Amino acid sequence: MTPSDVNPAAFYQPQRQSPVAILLILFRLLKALLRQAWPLAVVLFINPKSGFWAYIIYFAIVAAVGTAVLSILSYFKFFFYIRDEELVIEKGILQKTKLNIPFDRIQTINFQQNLIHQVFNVISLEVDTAGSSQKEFAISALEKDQAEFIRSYVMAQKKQQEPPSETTEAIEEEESSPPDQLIFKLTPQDLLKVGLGRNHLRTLGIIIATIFGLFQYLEEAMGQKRTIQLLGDYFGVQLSSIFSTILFLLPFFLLAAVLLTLVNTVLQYFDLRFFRTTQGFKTIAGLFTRREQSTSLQKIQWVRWSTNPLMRLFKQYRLQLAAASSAQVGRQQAMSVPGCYQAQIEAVRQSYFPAFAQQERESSGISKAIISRHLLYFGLPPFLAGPFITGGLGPFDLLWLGWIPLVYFLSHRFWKKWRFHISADGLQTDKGIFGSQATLLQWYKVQAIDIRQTPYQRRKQLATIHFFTAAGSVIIPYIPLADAQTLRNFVLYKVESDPRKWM
Amino acid sequence: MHFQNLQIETDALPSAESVEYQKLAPAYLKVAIIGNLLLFVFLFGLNIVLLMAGDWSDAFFKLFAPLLLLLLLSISTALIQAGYKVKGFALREKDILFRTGLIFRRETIIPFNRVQHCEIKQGPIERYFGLKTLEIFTAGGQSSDLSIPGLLPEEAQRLKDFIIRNAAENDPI
Repeated sequence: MTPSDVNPAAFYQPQRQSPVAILLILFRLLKALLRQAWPLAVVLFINPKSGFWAYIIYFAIVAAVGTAVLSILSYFKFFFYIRDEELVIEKGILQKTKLNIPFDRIQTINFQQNLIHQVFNVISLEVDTAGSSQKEFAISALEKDQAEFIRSYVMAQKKQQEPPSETTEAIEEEESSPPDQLIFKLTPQDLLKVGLGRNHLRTLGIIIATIFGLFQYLEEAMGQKRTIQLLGDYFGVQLSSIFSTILFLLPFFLLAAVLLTLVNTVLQYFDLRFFRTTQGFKTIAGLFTRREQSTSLQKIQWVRWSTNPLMRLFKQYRLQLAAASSAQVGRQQAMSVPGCYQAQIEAVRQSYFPAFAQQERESSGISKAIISRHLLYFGLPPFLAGPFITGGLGPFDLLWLGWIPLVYFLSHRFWKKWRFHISADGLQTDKGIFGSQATLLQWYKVQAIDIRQTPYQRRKQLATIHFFTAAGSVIIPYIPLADAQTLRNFVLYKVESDPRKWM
Repeated sequence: MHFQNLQIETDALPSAESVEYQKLAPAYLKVAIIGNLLLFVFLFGLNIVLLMAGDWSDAFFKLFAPLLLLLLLSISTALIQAGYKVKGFALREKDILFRTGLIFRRETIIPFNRVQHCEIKQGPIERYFGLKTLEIFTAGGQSSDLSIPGLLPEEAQRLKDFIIRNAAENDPI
C-alpha cells in the first residue's frame, strides 16, 4: 500500500493509533520509572537486607501492573483526526486534553523510528509548529503509509492556503520534484573518528557527577568510612578520603568516558545520511532510534562549522544548521551533522549563502584590550582565591603561580584567532582557542541589533555588537565603537531594504 | 575597518548614533523608585519574620542585615535616579531605538519589518501614575525584545500604531 491508497475520508473520523502504541507507552513509562528508582536498586544490590527483597518484589509487581493498565487506557483514550484545516488530538484518562493545530501553523512534520517502531514497521509522528504553543503534538505509533499520507496531505493543504504568487512557483517545483540528493553518508570509519573526536571531558564530568551522586547514596546506606574502605578493598589499595578515591579512579573514569562517548556516538549517528531536499536539508541517523530531521533552506538562520584538535587531525568538521526555532526560544533547533569534510561544508555554504564566496570581504580582528579584561576577570580571582582552596602554603599552592600566565596565553590566542569578515550581504566570524568555530550569517536574517558597552569599553571607546536572529545571536566582541556604529547602520540599511523573507 | 568594499557609501547611510533620544516621562522615575522601595519593604519584612522566628539575640538579623539593606536601598535609588538620564527611545522612519544602562550601556535597534507584535502593559504602580509600558517582540528571542516603560497612554498607543502600521507596510510577505 502506498500513501495514495489511503482514503483521506478516514481521517475526518476520530482515529486510534496503531496498537503498537500500547507497547511504546508501556516502554516509556517503565523507562521513566527506572530512571527514578535505579539508585535504590544499586544500594539494595550492594547492601542487601534480607527482609527488604519481598517489598521490592511487591513494588515491582504493582509498578508493572500499574504501568500496563495505564498504557492500555491511554491507548484507548487517544484519538486523532483532521477537521476544518486542523490536526486534532484528543487524549487523557482523567484529565481530557484537546490539541488543535491549524495547518498554516505547522512548520514541518517529522518522523522518528526507534527499535520497537522498526520491528513493527510503524512510525512516530511529531508536528513542529510556529508560535508559542508549548504542548507537544505527537502521535506515538502510526502505520507507515498513514503517517506519510498525513504528512503529504497536510503539506499539500498548507500550500493551497498560501498566497497564489508563491504557490505557482512552489507547485512547479513540486511537480518536477527530484528525489532527495545524498550529500554525505557517514561510513563506519568516519563514525569511529567522530566518536574519538568528541568532547570526552564533558562525558567525564557527567560520569564523575553520577559517581558522586551514587557515592552519597552509598554513604547514606553504610556511612562514609565503610564505603571508601569497601572501594579500597575492591581495588586492593588503601584509600583515605573521597578526593583521593576520585583521583585514584580518574584513569578508569577517563577510559569509561571515551568508551561511553563512542557508544553514544554510535547510537546517535550510526549510518548518518545527509540529504539535500527540494526544500532544504534532511538528516537520518541512529542505531536503534532512527531519527529524521528536516529543515527548509528558508528557515536556516545561520550556519556554523567547528573543529577541535583531534577532529582537525581527521580533517573533520561538525556542521550546524540553525533553523528558526518554532516552539519556544531557547530550545534552538540546530541540525547537527558531525564528521563532515571540507567538501560538504562548501556545498552547504554554497546553498545557504552563494554570494559570499564571490563578494569582496573586509576582514578585521578584535581589540587587544580583551586580554587585559580576561586577566582581570578569569586570571586574578582564582589566583587570589587559589591558596585558600588548596589550603595554606604547601608545594601544591605554587601551582597557582602558573595560573595568570596560563590565562594570558589562552586569552592571547583567543584574541589572535578572533577574525570577522564582512561582505555586502553577510558576515563570517572565526574564533576558537585550540579548536576553531566559524559562523556564517546573512544580513537579512538579522532581527535586531544591540550595541553594548561596559564602563571599561566606554573608556577605551570599544563596544560589543550583537546580531539577533530567530535562532540565537551572533556576537562580535571588543571592536572600536565607531566601527560598531558604522556596521550597525549598514546592517540596518540592509535589513530594512531587503525584500526577502527571513523565514 | 574601512568599509570600502560594501558597494555602498557607508557615510551616506542614516546614522543611528546621531539621533536625539526622547526621555521617558518624569513620573517614570517615581514608578521605578517606588517599585524598588517595595522590594526593599518586602526584604525588611522577611528580615523581621526571620528575627521573630529565630533567636532574638541573633546579631546578623538584628543589626547587620538591616544596615546592609539600608545601604543597598540608598545605592539602588541613586542608581535609578542617575540611570533615568540614560534611558530613552528614538523613533526613526524604519526602526526604533532604545537606550538603557547607566553602567552597562545598551542600545537596541529593532527594524519595523522584523516586529512580530506589540503589547501595551500597565502595572499597579504605573496605573497610579498614569503611565504605560510598550513591549515590542521580534523573532529574535527574549534578549532582543524591547520593553519601553514610562510612556503616557496616548503616546504608547501612538507608538504602537506607528510601529504596527510600518511593520505591515514593510512586511515582505
